[in-house]
Amino acid sequence: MDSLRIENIKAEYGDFPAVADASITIPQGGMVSVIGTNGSGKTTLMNVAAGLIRPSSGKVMLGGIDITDMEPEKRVSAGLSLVPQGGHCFARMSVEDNLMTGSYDKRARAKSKDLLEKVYTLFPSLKDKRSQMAGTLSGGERQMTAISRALMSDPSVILFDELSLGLAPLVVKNIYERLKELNAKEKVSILLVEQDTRRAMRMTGYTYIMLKGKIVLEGKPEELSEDKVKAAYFGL
Amino acid sequence: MYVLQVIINGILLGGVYAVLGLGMSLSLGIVKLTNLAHGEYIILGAYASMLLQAWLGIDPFLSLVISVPFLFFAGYLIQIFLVNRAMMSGSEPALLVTFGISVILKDAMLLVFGADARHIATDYSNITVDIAGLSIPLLNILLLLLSGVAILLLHLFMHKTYTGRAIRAVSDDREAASLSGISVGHTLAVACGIAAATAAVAGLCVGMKWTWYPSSGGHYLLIAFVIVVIGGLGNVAGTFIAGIVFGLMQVIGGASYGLLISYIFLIVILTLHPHEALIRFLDRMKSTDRQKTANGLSGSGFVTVKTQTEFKSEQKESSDAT
Amino acid sequence: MRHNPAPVKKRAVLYIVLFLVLLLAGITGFPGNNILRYGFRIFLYITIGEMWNLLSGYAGMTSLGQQAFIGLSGYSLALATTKYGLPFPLGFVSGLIISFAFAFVLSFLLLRIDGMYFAITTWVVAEALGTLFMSMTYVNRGAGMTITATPYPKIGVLYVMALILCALSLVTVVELLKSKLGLAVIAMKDDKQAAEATGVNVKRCRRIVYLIAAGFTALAGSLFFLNKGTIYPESGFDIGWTISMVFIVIIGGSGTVAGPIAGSVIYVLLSEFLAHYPGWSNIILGALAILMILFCPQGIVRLRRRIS
Repeated sequence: MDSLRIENIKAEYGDFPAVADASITIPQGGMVSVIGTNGSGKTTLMNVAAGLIRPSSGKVMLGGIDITDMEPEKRVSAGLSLVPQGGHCFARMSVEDNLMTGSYDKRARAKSKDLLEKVYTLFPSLKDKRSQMAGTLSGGERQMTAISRALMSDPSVILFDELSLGLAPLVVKNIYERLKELNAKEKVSILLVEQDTRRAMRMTGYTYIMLKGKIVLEGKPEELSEDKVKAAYFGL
Repeated sequence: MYVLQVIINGILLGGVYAVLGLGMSLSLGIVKLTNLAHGEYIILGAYASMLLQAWLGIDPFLSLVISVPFLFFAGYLIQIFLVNRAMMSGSEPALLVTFGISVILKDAMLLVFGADARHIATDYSNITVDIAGLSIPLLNILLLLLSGVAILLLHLFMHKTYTGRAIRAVSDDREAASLSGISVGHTLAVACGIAAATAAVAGLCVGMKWTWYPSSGGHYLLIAFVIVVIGGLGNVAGTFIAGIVFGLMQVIGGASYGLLISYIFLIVILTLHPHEALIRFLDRMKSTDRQKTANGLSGSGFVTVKTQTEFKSEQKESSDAT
Repeated sequence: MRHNPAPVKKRAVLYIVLFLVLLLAGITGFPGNNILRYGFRIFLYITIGEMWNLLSGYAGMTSLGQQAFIGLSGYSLALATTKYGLPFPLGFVSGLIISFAFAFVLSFLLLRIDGMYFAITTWVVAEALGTLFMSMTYVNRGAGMTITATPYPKIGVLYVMALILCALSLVTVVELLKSKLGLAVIAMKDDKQAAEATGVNVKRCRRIVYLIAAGFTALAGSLFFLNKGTIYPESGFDIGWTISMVFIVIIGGSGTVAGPIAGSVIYVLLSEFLAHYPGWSNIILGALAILMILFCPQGIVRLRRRIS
């Protein structure tokens, strides 16, 4: 069974049509990417998947259950987690309080100790800064905190919206290695939203290219030639 | 010697004033709601303790076991059914809804309890303790202890429990909170419930220390405002110090002029906000950005009351978003 | 409407005729004292309702302290007539001047803030005045003052004065909203920064609106207390005045001129009816206002329009 299926989503911001028609499937334990330029509707699609925006038509299916009308917080307990653009830590709370907030849901609460340990092994630098206020962390550490907070809800699917935005290349590399590890070891399904075509295709087994609110090209990295991707990406 | 005694009593009463400000600090700082009914919650708490003492013959301090949960549920229900809904359409409808609740509660209490002045008396109400030649009312000491316990419990709750962390998270970033699996509406209502529960404690203090009428709510609401505004960034120390400052103002100014002084003080702080001027000054001294200073100052706090400009700009953002 | 001047003229004639009929009713005393008493109260509530609406509904300055001006003008009237033996019209004038002066000085503080801080500060100011009057021997402290006038104006006279004040307030609000200043005020409520960027002097606009509201509210306050004959700190600076203004505007429809008129009629009739159930009136009015805010924030004026 597929882990997450986004089917024929259409969504607007007021009168502005942000997503015209987009379908994305993440297989169980898979790792897929969505790439596209600024304003292609990637973030809106992620927000629809997480429940922050209601689509005007289309369906969101999580493990075979229709969650299109579910509240964002209920989706988290159902196993879907979104790390939004820019991370969004709780700046006035300590790192560990940020992480513990991630296990708010009853299901995750019982395992919170193990989860915390797992997260600290994944990102040891956070353990050293556990009592520091999140607002005083560096950009990379903030992103790690946000990722860890999502992991603390014990998700089966995580969506990452432009993880690498504004981070140093080395930091990005480190974070992406951790995600691969996570995907391989914990069988967490992952969706990456990226602007960097090459990195996205290198990292994931299947790539969607979005343009003006539509999926214009999709396929396995080896199936997609560079010219085709370029043409789809820029709408040439 | 007399002066010293007066000052010490002012300080002891600081605890009571701090508890008065506690709930207001929660709703202003976390829910971002000016709850004009908070004064009525306090008076409701006083009546609850009075009735429990009369009906069950229990010590007023014990009555908290019932009055605290009672006010928690009242505050929770009012928030989830009425105020949350109004907050979606803006801060002014929410303000007016709490104004309406305040009016309803006040007149309902007048209907039920009559206009008589009330007081919660006990055997130990008038006992004084002699310490180093100063005679200090036992009640003042007990109330200071009670408020200390209340503030400590709240602090622990906010930092050590999932719900407490969720409340702080919602205060910080609502969207990120809901992405962490937190129901924002429910959490705001819990925060308001807790604010109302602190009013039960405050009500007991008011009832044991002074006399009250059904219409006294407005008076205590304003005191709560003064405390929050003096306490500024709303950390434990700030609230306590604010309480003590206010207590001393009352003692020095006397009954009616003490109140007038605090009103004028409040007007000056609300309109000229010297607090922000102080923060800006500190920032320039440290030459760090203002956000960091605010965080640093509030780091030890149980709640984070934002400075006015920050708060306004946020309100602006949220109103732009809608 | 502007493109179609004929109906406007027709409507203006209608309003003038209506005014004259109401005026005639007052002068002849034909409808009887009871009806005139209702009319008196309705006109005054329309006046203070329109002013609160101008502040909150149009200019975005929600005040919880307009009772400051009612109390100040009421006490001015009492002081002028009883302490200094002046005729009551001079009491009106002194109340107006004092209220203007107070509003002007206060505006320097109040215009620095907005939103809920504005609301709270105005309320604290009114409470502070009440506390001050409670402890000032000059105004007999809590014992209150009486208002003297010989001969004491009859209800017909009071009614006519209230009618004229009400008409003046309506004309002022309508003309103000049509003027450049009014447009600036409305623009300012929607977006202060944008209004400022287009060259609107926001502070000046807000000050003018605040002063107008203070003036009319003060005059209405003088009339209220001329009718009552006595004033106490608790009645003059009563938060109840704000409760009625909020109710009138919320029920009728905030941000419309017709709203407070409808709201005032409902308020006066309803509170008259509720007088049979002592103690319940504010509870029911408050509950109604909350329901309106939650389920019908547009008020009944626009509700009616929506149905038709």
